[in-house]
Amino acid sequence: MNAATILKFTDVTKRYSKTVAVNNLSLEIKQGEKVALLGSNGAGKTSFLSMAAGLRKPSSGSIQILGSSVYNPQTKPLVTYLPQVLDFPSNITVNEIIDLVSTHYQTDYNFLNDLLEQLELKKLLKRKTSALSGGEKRKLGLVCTLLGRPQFAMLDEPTANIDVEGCVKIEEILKNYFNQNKTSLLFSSHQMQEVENLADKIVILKAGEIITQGPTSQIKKEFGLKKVSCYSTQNIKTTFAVSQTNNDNQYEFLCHNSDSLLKDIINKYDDVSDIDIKEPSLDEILIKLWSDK
Amino acid sequence: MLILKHAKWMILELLRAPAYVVSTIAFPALFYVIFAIPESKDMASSNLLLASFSCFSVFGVIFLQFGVGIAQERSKSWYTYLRTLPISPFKLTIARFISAMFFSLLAAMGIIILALCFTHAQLSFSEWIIFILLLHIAGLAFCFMGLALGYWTSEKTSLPIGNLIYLPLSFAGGLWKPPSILPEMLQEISKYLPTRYYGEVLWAFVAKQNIAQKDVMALTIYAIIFALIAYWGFKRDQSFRLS
Repeated sequence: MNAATILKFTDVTKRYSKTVAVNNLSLEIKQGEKVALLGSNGAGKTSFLSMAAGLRKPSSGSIQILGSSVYNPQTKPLVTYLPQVLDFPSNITVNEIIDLVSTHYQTDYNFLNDLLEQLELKKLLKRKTSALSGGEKRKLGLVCTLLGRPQFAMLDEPTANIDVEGCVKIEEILKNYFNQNKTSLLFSSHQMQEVENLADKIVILKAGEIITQGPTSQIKKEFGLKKVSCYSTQNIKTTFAVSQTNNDNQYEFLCHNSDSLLKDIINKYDDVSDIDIKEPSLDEILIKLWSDK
Repeated sequence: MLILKHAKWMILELLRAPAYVVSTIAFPALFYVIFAIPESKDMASSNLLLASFSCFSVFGVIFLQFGVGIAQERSKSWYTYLRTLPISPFKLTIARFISAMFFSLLAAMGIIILALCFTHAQLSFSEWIIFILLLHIAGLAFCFMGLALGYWTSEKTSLPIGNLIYLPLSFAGGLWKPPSILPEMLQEISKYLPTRYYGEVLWAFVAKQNIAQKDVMALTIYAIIFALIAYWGFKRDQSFRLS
């Protein structure tokens, strides 16, 4: 049986004066999918998310959420959005913010308690939001986004400003929540580790257009490049590399055929050592894709 | 329930800002002490000046502070976030309105307490209640005026534009000095100002005279005009945000 469509963008274009932020974009997110929206700054991620959240209207095309218009008030209790920047009113405590936001939803207080516990916000409940760190504010934003147990959540850089330990915890919370509830997630991120851990599908944007999309493993496979690293004190040059870097004699090559590249450099240079062949990271794939297309 | 919850945190947020609370009460109270108390020579003059400066204080809160608050709030990410919650913008505006009414009551109470302590102002208990109610009901026009200011100005322009409207309208409307002692040309203009109609309603009440229908009608017409301008501004703001 086909999973229900949660979000549907059909030929959506968004223009700001002469700038095209999103260009004729079509995309579907199915129930239970966790989709990462990737792109360099200005690629159109925030415009995409704010249109999906009903905060901006597309210049052309249509957007549907849960089978109805994105502006339908009836979908609002089921869909939540965490903007990239969320400054809470400064003289209000954490507890009061949570109390206010939870009034809008049928809040499961056991779930909320667990969430506060896991995000270590319980001890901060009486603190004014102005006294919170950037990371703590982000965690509070996440609590506000999840406490209503949404069917579909959109998170614009959910772990921005959060330390490494906090990021791991948030990834775990999000993964558990969206897996257990079979609900859908759309998020943007610049943290590729987070994307690999959380997303089962990636959408890569460049200049407002989708340049590729699919499961992480498929994108890596389609990308088809290998990463070869080695050590050499000589100035290595090879025609088999698509790109190469040299950091203190530690070379890294991206290539289509690692065997040919290795044969070439071993034949030409006599001090090549510490050879390693890996799949390139998502970061490397993205950098290559953005520079190519 | 939702509206009251939003009104509650809006009130709490401002109550916890001492600078806001003190200035809300102190600014009109200071004007009252300087301009009104020395002139409050008997019960009649005390009551009239009490009415004038109560109008001035309520006008200040529900037009200037309410309007500036909306304009500032519109530029904040929290306001954008609120628009994603299951609550209509209309309900949020009602919550803001309740918060403005709360602080205008606070400002008016400052004047009333000063009047009771230092002048011959006198009203019966029921008259005090009606006076406060009338002050706020007749002041509704300025609430819409505040909304219009909030939706038609930006975070940076709202305060100077608001002050450019608030102070001259208060003076020319006769809320600081009786209209009869204003310069002749201003006396003529004063007859058509919303602050003058507002004052006339409250002056008539404290002087135990009938409130003139024309003043009520004029205030109602002003309220409708300001409400339409505010609605137009709101729609314009929404379309900017959505565009």
